[in-house]
Amino acid sequence: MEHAKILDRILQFLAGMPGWRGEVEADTPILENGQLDSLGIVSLMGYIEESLGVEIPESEFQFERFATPRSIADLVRDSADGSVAV
Amino acid sequence: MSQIEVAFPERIPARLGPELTRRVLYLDEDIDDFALIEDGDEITGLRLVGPITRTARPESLIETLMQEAQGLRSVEPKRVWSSRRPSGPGSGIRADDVIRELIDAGDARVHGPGTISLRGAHADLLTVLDDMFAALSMDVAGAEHHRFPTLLGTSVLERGGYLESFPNLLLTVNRLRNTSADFERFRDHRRSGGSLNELESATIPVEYCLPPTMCYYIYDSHVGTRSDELRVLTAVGSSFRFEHRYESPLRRLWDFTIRETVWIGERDDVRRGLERYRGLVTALCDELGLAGLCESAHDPFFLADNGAAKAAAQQMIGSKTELRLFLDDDETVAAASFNQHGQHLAAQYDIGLSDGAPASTACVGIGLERFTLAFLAQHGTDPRRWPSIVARAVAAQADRPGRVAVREWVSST
Repeated sequence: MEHAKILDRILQFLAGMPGWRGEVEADTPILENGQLDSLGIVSLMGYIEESLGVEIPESEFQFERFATPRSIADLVRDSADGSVAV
Repeated sequence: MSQIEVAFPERIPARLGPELTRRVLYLDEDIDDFALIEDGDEITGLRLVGPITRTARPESLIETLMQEAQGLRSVEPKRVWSSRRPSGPGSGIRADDVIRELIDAGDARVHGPGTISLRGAHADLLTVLDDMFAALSMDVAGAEHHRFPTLLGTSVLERGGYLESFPNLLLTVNRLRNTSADFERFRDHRRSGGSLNELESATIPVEYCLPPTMCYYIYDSHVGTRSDELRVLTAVGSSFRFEHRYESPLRRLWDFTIRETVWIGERDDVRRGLERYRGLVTALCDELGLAGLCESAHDPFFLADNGAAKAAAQQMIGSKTELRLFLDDDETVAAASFNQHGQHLAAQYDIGLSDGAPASTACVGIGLERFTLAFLAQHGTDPRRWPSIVARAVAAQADRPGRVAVREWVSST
């Protein structure tokens, strides 16, 4: 799977979230700066599961893993059992 | 009394015990008591006591419980404050003794499930503690003061998604249908010794609920508004949440008092406002000599869509933190919660910034009965032993300007 494509899909999803404020780039600290809130995380998890076909294990629910779009893309790649639907 | 043991399909870390405990009594009204079965640092099952063992399949309840516990397993709470006063063995903190003392002396009275009253200096103590939080809200954070009614329109709670997220806590208000035939039927029913609970057909759909917290009035007051300016508002009032387990008076009440402060505005302004207020509250706890801690937490979602994921996400990012004060050597009670909602609630209530995007919101709720209980558990029931800042304020309650003015007026007439 291509990490760059996963990252691209995540960036697109985040920028399209209702009420999303500000620029988002691969290394934007979206948790620390409050751009991604808890309901946003739940929406993002739903998107990753439904559109990319990847389920994130509970053990990966760690701040660092959701810190930036790039770390989320890493998480999706690491959690994928086989291919990612990008 | 019947009792049954049910093994969990998988072992749960013992640190999630409080989470499971919080949920078990909402599984079925007929659970009178329960115990978690522990094996080392894991929970392996549940011992249920009560008629539940005859009326339902405990296995199906366990399945529900397991779903609720999912998602929380790997998320450790993050601590943001620890009190200067230490806790632990030898702390001398004893909430149970204090409650017994208050009740024996007539200074507290349990009126029924989840309701309690305080009198004299102990009632004044709650007022004084609220005055202190009101001062932080109004005089330091610049909040506008509001006084709200008790009845809250059901539609207001519906709009915020409360009915789906916390159905287990909801308390509703009912009344008879306004027709002479229904009133007559009600009168005849009562005369024949009938119960109110048998009169469903004579009542109308629920228009009002009892408020679970004050902040819903605030969001409702701002529907359709647009502003970039930071808005800070505060109110104190009676709040209501159903709690099955009521045998610990003051810990869990159906009817309690919240001092709530809400921030509405740009994300960074709201977050700074909330964090500053949290710092003030925890510093005040140190000033009052209270032992406690403040750490990340999550809302008690129960059977809500994605409830476990929402709870885990809240805990992970620290959007909710709780001030927990010690009631004895190890037990704590959540006396305040600090909540960042992002744009979620503002989107639901159409509260916007000037460009039309949803504002950010945050709120702090301080449970005054719980705070009072923790204060008494830690300082005792004798006002002479309370920190002087509190003791002086309690003693001065009789000299509040309104009372002095009325006393002077009465004595002059």
